[in-house]
Amino acid sequence: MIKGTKLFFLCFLVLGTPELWAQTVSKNISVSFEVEPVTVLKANSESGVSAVRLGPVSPGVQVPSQTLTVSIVTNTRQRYRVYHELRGEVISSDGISFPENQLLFMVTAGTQGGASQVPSFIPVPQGEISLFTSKSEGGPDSFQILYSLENKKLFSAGLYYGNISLDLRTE
Amino acid sequence: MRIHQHLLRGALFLSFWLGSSWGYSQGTEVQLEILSEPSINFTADLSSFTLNFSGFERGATTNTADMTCTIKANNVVRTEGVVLAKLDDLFPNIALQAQLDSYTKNGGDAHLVATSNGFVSVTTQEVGLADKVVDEGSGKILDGTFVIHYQAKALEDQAAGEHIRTLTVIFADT
Repeated sequence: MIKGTKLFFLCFLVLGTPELWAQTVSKNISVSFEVEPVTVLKANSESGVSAVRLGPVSPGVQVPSQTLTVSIVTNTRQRYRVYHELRGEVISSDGISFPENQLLFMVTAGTQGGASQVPSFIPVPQGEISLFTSKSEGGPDSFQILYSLENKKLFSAGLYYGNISLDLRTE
Repeated sequence: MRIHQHLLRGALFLSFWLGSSWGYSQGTEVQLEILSEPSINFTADLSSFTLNFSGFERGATTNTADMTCTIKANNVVRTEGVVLAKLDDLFPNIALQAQLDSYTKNGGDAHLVATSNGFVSVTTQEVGLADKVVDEGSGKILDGTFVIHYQAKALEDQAAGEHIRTLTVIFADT
């Protein structure tokens, strides 16, 4: 029996730098992303709604024109056109049709270089008509449609409604 | 494996080509509202006139006064008695008579005709002088001119004198 003897265990700690221990493993990961082509066409009147309100119309009194601001936001680079379509008749709740050729409109040039196809007042035709052409490289733009009335004749009293469609198409 | 990669690349290219090269369409709807207010514009070229008897016996008649009226109205729903006349007070034993004549249509979709053939006696009650005839459409728009002839007839022998009354001519659209 060993008495008074102490056992000593020696431990050696070896410390090494990370460089000595780490392994370098690299992997190439392919990252791809796609930006979808986005085009948004908005039309707002001065009151901020998608509506054109003309009147009250009094016989012989010139009605102030109403402005519809059309904004195109797009990240594409394609030339486009904006078409206007008066769908069906402008008709009152009594079933009275608003006289043809009495509703007028014109279109301003685009703020970003697009061209108006209706630079002066003409009667709004039934069906579709090209209003606006973007510059050749497309891109965002904004223009205004001004609506007015001929008002040289009497209109039967009433509230008339109509539907207008604005359509943007690339060429 | 390689074929699979080719197919994947082809699909990516196709989706990119479709997304960037094909035409597209974007639209919006706009509501159009036009409010046309009801309106009547009724004028006459006379504010006063004088009728003179050439005799004083019963049955004698005066000269005729012609009043030209202009009407522009866009909500004429009424058809009978569209133009009416009345006196504030009757003349003593004298009948005031009126007759609508020669409506000239300048526009609109209706016109006026005389309510009766010949002269109509005007009293303190409203008396119809003209009715509306629809030409087309709603027939609510009148735009034209017409003449009203006035004359007076002695119902009894008349003493010399002057009588003044107020004559009201009314255009009624409803």
